[in-house]
Amino acid sequence: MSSQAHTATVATSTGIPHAKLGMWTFLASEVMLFGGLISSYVILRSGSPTMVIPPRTMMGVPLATLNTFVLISSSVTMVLALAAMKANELDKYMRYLAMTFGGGVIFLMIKAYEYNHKWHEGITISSNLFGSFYFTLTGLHALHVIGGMGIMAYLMWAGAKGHQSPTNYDRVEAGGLYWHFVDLVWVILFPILYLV
Amino acid sequence: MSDKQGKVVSVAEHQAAHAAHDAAHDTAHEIRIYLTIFGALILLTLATVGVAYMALPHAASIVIALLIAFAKVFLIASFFMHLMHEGRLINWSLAVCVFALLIFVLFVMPDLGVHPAEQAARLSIEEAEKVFHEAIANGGPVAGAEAHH
Repeated sequence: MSSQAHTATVATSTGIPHAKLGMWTFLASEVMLFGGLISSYVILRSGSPTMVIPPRTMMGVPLATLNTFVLISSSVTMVLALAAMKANELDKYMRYLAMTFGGGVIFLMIKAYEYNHKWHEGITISSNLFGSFYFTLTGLHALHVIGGMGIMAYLMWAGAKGHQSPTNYDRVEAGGLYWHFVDLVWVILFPILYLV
Repeated sequence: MSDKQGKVVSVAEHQAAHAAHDAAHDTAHEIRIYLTIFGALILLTLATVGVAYMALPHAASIVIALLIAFAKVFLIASFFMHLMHEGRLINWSLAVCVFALLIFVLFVMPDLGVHPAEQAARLSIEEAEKVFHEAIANGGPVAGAEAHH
């Protein structure tokens, strides 16, 4: 594994860099945010007599599967960008960050198409209980994707200005943690909304 | 000492060259791991979709979907988010977080589908929907209305 400063302690009271601990704390709060919504959906779906689930043909599973691949790939390019920064390869770092950003763009474009398709089918946020959950859950997730793309843009700007280096990459790591979390939430949303 | 080209280099320079070489190997090793996990995630995604389209009994398909989703979450969290290398503080904080969420879900689930009034409501709605859909499929007014004329 890496013999770099990755597991070495830093001069904070916990031994963990501030950016990383702060981001994990934030992600823990995000777990409760999405977890609350997802739990409510799971409970109402299994127990409510009035939750009508649209058939799979209406849900568009192939497109959502493609979206899952897109987000997983962008997670890989993100972690490769971090590895490139640690190895002091700035051009690779910028390229991988751009690919991560592009993954977010593709994801949102596919989502926009999906939303339009559902509205035409009559599934809206106020049409029924399922629509309510679907659009709240995926809408909140899409907002997080947009936020993540803002973080990628900042990291590309900071990288171009030379603010990051193999000894100063805490912000890249924190941004990566956020993006992986966004991917993680989608990995959970995809089966419970589209497949089960 | 001398390096490959026969130039004289200091011991320190030689060691620095070795360290850089090792670091490059470390990075290549890390990248190989990331790409392996990527492959695993793709396969698990395909498995999720595949299992969903196999007409399994409802409970079994839910359990398998949850297991596969958990596996993917574990891989992303452990390797991409480097939880494998993090210490107790972060790992235990997250464990407490997930535990709190599980309390919410697991303590409510036993009440689902076991109460007679709820079941009656669900059945009557299902029956009403069935009649409604059949009427639509037959392309006319609801069956009973004609007989009353």
